[in-house]
Amino acid sequence: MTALIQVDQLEKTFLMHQFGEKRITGCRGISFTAHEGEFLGITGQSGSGKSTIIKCIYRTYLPSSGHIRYQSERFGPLDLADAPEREVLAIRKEEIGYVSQFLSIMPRMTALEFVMEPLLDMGENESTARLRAKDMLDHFNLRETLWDTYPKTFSGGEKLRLNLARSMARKSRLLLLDEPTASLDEASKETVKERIYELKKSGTTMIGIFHDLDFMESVVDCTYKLEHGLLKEVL
Amino acid sequence: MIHDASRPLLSVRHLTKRFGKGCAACSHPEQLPEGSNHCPHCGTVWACNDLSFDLYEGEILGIVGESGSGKSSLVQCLYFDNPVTDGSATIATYEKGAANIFCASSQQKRYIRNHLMGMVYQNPWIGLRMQFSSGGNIAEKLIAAGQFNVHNIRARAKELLEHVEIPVTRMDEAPLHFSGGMQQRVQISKALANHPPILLLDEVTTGLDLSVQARVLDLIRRIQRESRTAMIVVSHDLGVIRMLCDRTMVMKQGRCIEAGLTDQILEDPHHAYTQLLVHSLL
Repeated sequence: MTALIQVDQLEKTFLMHQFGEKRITGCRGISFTAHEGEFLGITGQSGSGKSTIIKCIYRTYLPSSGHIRYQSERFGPLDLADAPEREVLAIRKEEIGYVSQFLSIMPRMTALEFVMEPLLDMGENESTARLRAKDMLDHFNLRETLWDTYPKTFSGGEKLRLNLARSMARKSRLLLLDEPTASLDEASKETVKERIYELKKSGTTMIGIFHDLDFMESVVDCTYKLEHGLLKEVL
Repeated sequence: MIHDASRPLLSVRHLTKRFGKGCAACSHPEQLPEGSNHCPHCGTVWACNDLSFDLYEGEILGIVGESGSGKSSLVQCLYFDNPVTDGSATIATYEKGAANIFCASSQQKRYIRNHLMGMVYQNPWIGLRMQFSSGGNIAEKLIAAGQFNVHNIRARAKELLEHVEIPVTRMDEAPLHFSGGMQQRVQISKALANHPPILLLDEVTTGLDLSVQARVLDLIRRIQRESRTAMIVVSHDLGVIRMLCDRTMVMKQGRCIEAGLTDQILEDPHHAYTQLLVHSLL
């Protein structure tokens, strides 16, 4: 199997200027490889730095040191730790998806438009994107009466499911999952699981963080545990 | 001219703008007291200091910073409202990107202003002739770009006003009688009259109430999506920047102190001032 992404000695430290130049370590010495089509799960206690790793890969955090070597379809091999912003933006649109438990809604955009947006960004035409988005909203059990309304006033559960419909709608090469099942009910977790299986079947590589170990074990190919800042493979 | 989208549309290098004559104590900005862009001896202000950045087709670049950080001076320099002290800017579709637009002749600068750039000011009194009709304001921009057929001019003005949701029935009214949000939308339609590839927006939603602000922001997003116009959005409001921009530059006292992906600036700010700004976000 070919390595799609290789994280090498990744370190992230936050320097807090407003708090007497305090340094907070997010993660350090993180190395692992995810091969094409593989699903890699990361576990660890709260605050152990799991999300930091995911956010460094997505470049929401700028890594302090180390490398994130990624085989891009469009740009070839590149290091996400210091790739130019324009390339990172293009890769986010076309290749790397990010799913979290937090919904960042765009004001005055309907639920349907919100799910269609990443598909349109990827170059999908309007009618295909619309059909696909409707499929996803249906899959994640969002009532059809809500599709043409603004998500701002949705309930907590509806927002979570809308967020999943959006971020899991398209087929990415690499999908990063940052506790997507946190605060979901059992039925919704099942819909996430079904979508993960579909994506896996279509060859998407995934890296995910989960608190729910049973859920994680049912979807991942290999597990890493983050303990005292060190990442160990669990056999 | 067809433009290669992988190359920047606008490249700004070392743009510097100084207000005041300068003296021996401030001939280099490095000589200024720490944390200030103001010369204590002669009162000169270095409004923009060595700014370099690129703007690509179809992207919205955010410029954020406190009052007096030089954000407006920067766009005013780019639109030739103020002459620069130093530095260069090139536009890929102008002279094949080889000419520094700041050195262009007055006639060429007028051409650039009328064909390649649009500007929307925070204060619509600067961007519009308040006593002229709204249609007349748009016509002025079209005539400046060499269009003289009255029928075509009226048709284009109508199309533009419809685009920014101003009732065509009010086309012959002066913006003086319009609300602040409507004036801003007329200003945007005027700036877009000649399909400029670059649009400069200086605090366009500041001072508007929330629902009016929302309509203006939605309009900007729609323009970007439909026409792939490259925009520079100047704002002190991080909410506006978060909603509109992929990349953001943070300015303080005339300098760019941090630049990056907007989500990275907001979640992982590096500079002390950016951290303060992000922590002040409501």
